[in-house]
Amino acid sequence: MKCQLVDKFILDYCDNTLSPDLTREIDEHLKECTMCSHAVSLLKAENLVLYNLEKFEPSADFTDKVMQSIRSDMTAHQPHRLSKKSRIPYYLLIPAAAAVLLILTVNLPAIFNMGTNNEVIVENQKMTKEAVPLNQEIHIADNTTIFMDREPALGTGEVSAYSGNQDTSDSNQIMRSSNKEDTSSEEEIIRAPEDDAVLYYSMPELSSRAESISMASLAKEKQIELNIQNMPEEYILFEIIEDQENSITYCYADETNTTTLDITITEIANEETSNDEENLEKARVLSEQSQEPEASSSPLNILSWVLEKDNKSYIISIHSNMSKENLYKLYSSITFTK
Amino acid sequence: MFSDEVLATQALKGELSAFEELVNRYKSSVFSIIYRMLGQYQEAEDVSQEVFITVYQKLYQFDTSKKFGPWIHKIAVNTAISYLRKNRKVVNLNFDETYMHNEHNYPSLHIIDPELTIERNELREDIENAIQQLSDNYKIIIILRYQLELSNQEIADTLGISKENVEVRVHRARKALRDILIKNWKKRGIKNEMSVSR
Repeated sequence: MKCQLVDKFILDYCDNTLSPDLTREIDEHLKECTMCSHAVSLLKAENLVLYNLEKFEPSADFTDKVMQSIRSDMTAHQPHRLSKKSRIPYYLLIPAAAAVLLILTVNLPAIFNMGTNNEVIVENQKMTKEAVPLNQEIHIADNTTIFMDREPALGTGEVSAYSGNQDTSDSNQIMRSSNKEDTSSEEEIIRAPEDDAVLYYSMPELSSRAESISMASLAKEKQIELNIQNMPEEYILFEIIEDQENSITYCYADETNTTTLDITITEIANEETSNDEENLEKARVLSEQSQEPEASSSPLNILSWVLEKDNKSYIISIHSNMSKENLYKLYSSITFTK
Repeated sequence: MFSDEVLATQALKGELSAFEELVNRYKSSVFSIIYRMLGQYQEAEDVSQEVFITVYQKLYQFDTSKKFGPWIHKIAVNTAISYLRKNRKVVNLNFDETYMHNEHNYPSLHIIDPELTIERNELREDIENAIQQLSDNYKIIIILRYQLELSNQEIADTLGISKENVEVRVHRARKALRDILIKNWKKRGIKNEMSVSR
């Protein structure tokens, strides 16, 4: 047991950030456990190296080179490489610009409609339906209605409209579908990592765009699966973090911004859920908050609601630095399958 | 001496000398991030230059009421990631193959004393190698935390994640680093007691 304690707090112990009680407890244990004291010495040695990593400097004329590029690019604001190396004559750029403009004009309505147009969203959801043949859908939201219904009533138990159906699916699989336009048939079965894991989730390929996300809570038996389709399209998925057993964070980034999406599914005990009033109250309290960031990060929006299904209740919450508007859009695209 | 944020405001008004000062202040940290991520000096220098040019071009997006450091580091991290995505070579794969072939050829087994290892200054080299083998996500965390010695809050701001999440990631990155170290030691025929327990 003590070895596990050391294992858990070893970093904080070596950084001297543990409480005095815990530190003392570990100190005592280290006196009698060679393995743990070895682990601690190795970690301290690692710390010593890590805090004194080799420092790197660019070449001496680095600043000059940067400033030179900036000066030469100041008027055009061209990317460095294009303006310096390619040196494409301006008269050649004019027809190219015209062509780009033409393409943009033709495609612009389609670009802007993505993600905002209800028809597109509904189409995405149909895609999910096709892509999840093993899973019986509880409810595919009529997006227009649900979106209108949900926005003001968020977290007030509206979602309990998803009533139960029989489970006919293979419980160890999660389907992944992509909502890229041309890949409606693309699907993958992702094996759950461990049989006793509480939460399974899809692992969209990193660096991909606009993937859908599937999560399922499978604590005792297959319970719910959550599909999100409207991932921010301009962002690229670069990281998936398992925070806890029942929570997962997806990080999307473009050049300057990072969007994180932290989704948690918590099952609420049955006795608590028997009282509807209490539930509604809870949902409302949880429903929509904005946290002011401590420093310069963008505000964290929290959207939570209670999903009731098969006499079980779940609190689903999404913490994200996405704008509220986008979060609602995302929320409207969520479907629950079983 | 002006703060970074004041310099950014001045640069935005067209004072190039203010931007030059910012380049001088941040070239080491930006270059360290990029060089650690890319592993090639010349490539890292070119990409670092691109970072500063991007920063200059996007300076109007910078909120001067916030800290400049996390903003520029964020651009450096994201540029490195997107550069790697476009230009990733199969270096790691080659390493895995080498490892697979040698896995069952331990020349000898003995227990290593970590403190002795430091004396031999091998641990430094081992750790540097292990960092190179970390996945990008963990590598970034290690660079920000230990190379740049940023606080959890600064890392959180840089990566756009919560402070708690930073702690979780630092723990995982350290564990991943340890795993690689042990794997490499095993490969070289050095057995460490920790490999049994962790």
